[in-house]
Amino acid sequence: MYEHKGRYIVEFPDIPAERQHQIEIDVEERRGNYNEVELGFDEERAVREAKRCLSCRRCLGCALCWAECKPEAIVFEMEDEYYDVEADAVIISSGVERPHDRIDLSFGLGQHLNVITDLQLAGMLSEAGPSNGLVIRPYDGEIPGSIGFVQSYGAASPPMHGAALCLAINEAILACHKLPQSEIEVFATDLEEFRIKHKAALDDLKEIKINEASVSGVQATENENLELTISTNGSETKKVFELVVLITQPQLSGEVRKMSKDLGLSLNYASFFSEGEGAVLLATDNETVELAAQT
Amino acid sequence: MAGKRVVIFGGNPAGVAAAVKHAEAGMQVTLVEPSPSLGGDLLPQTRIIDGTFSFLEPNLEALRKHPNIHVITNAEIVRTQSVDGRYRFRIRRSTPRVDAEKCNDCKECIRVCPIHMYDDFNESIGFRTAIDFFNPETAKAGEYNIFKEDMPICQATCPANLNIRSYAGLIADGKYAESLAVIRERLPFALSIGRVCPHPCETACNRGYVDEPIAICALKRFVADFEMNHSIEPPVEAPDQFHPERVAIIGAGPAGLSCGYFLAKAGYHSVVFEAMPEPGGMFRYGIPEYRLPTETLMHEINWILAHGVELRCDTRIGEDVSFEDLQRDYAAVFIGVGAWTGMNLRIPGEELEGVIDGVRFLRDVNMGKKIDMEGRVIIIGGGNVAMDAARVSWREGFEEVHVVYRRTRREMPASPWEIDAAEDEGVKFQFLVAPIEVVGENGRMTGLKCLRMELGEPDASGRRRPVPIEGSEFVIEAENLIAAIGQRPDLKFVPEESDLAITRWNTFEVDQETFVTNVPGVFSAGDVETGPDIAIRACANGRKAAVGIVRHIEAKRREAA
Repeated sequence: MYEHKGRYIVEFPDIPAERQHQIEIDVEERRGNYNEVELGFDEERAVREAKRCLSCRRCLGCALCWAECKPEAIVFEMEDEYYDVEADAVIISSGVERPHDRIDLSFGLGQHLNVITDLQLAGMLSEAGPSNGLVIRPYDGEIPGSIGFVQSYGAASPPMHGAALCLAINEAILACHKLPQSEIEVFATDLEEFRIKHKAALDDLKEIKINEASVSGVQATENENLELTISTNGSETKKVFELVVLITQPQLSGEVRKMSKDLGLSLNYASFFSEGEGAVLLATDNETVELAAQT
Repeated sequence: MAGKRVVIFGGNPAGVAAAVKHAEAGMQVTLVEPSPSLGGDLLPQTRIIDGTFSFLEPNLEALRKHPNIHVITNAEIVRTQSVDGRYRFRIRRSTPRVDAEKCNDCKECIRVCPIHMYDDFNESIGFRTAIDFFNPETAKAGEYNIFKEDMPICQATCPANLNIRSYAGLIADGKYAESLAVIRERLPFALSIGRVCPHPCETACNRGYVDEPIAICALKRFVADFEMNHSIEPPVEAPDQFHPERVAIIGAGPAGLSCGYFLAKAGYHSVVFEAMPEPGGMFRYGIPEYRLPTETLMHEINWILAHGVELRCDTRIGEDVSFEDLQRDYAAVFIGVGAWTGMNLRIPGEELEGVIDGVRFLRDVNMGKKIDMEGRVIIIGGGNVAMDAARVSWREGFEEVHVVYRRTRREMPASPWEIDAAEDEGVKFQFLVAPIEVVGENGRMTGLKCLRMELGEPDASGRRRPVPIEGSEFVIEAENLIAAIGQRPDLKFVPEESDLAITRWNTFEVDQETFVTNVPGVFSAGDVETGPDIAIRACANGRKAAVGIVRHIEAKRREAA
């Protein structure tokens, strides 16, 4: 596919391979008797199926890296370490999750390679990311001629919605710098408050079209382009994009939720936002716990 | 503030900035980050960037150089305590298996690593190797990490933690006997579980993200079938010498026989007391013949017994042998009697002739009893017992078989393939229907009065709660009704003097490691401990109880010495 970290990312020859199905007796043969219905795999199917196992692509302990490592830095026996830390004060910096499984299937994530999430795009935009800072279509590695940003959640609280939109529009701006030839549009709802708050910045933003609209469906078309079904004020239109980026709803990570519970705080993701610059700390209802705000 | 100690959780730019600021103010800072490296969240989320901006750049240089900052990556909080306004945290740092002091960032390990996994460091865009770094900035400081878990997701999900990756790999290599041996290290019921398991491992399987999950259950069945069908003598591996202590096991079901098998492997004889005429428990009397033939089951059970497990059928505790006798005569008692009592519908008319509970119905059929029912039948419930009852009813030749369920197909707890098979066989489903009364004439049922439902708000289980639609009453005519809405254990055999604590679900509460009850020497696992659950969990817990029992006996022996 593409070179990264000094090697080529290879495609797996074992994908795709269809799941094997057991042999079953016909419905007509089942009536009035208790003969076993499923007859299991024959040898050929069993071996074919077993070969589909990915071994989960986790370290198998083959030690090839160990053998190769000249400075002998690899130590398989290295064990987990435990630290007991005492503190007079605690600062929590928000851990964010944007779980994929909360995204509605109709947006095509996981079905169409050219549908990605905002966090995946953030990775691509980074020079240190998987594509060395290139924005590409995962399907063919081509530069997308058009990108549609699509809100993938329903209603969200204003600070959360604002954060999601800011991230998306910042990404759109960066993508626009990298791909000045590409057409970039954003489709989102409940934009009024956001537009007022960021009026100055948005007024300057000519290259990116921001639409107050909801997207109800994503269909793959020719060449794995994606056709969006867009609803604006009750009327429906369709438009094709070469890459679709889903704007996802951020939520507190499980670790922060748990810690907040353990410390007796009631936090949500919005608790972490502040308008300032640099390291801003926000007070909580517990004197010795502060939040490191996201700006 | 100087000299004070502060812990910062989260190594994103805001956390890094806070760390540097506090360290410069003279505080001792510990920065804790769950992932292998600092970074993340590098785009502002409260303001729109201007043209000159690129990414946020946390001052990692300052962070690393500052003597007052201790960074712990790969970290997880194990314990949180708050004492007198101070905090104590116990933090585990998962091992990176790479010595950061020695690593010179030459990337040779990445080149040779054969494992290509989804790049979870980059939101699964593209692939990375099992040994990798997270952030090129920090990689120079040796922040490499080998991604190795205790167990792959399938194994972690399996209640018995079967080494699936290993036995699937052995099948791919044609090593079927070795594959089966791997299964039998943790499960004696490969033939049976390979047929009946709802396989939560497949639901979890990562291959499902690529196309479809691996057919793990059928693979297990294949190696077990291969041995049986090729008349290969299954190896009986038990010690030459057994210890003198013996264990009493009540119930020859999945839990009890698994417990006996692993006790034998550890060198302890057990005697299994079974109330029914044949062993197998729910494998024998709950699961219909078309899913698990008795002959197949007995092939497996006979092999288990051959390890040094004695079986006494037709022996009911509390009638033929007292519970106290077992406590007196055996070094330990294991209770695995299952959950065999069907729950009542709690609607009027349920005492009418023609109404029977699902487990009872399945047991009668499995015992080969003549079913004294004909005409049409309604099954109430949406679980696998309901599907079994429906598919058995269809085989018994009822004119019509209806399944009535109060939510929709999506909420049915039964395995989807069982629902499909029932439908293929001609079972009729009525969704969003709740029974309110069994109607009848002269003491015999003639139909079921029902209400139509619609789905409302989600309840505690996360499923949407059905709400009745007013005035939607109607009657489904039928001569028979099978209620399959849940089971609970029957614990009448437990004498009060035993002091065994029983929960409000009529189950035992046990220590989840040793499976000992509140009475020393008495252990329990299976449905009688969990409530109705899948067979492999009963097998898994039966094995854990065997380990607990061995530990108990050894402790007692040491005490006596």
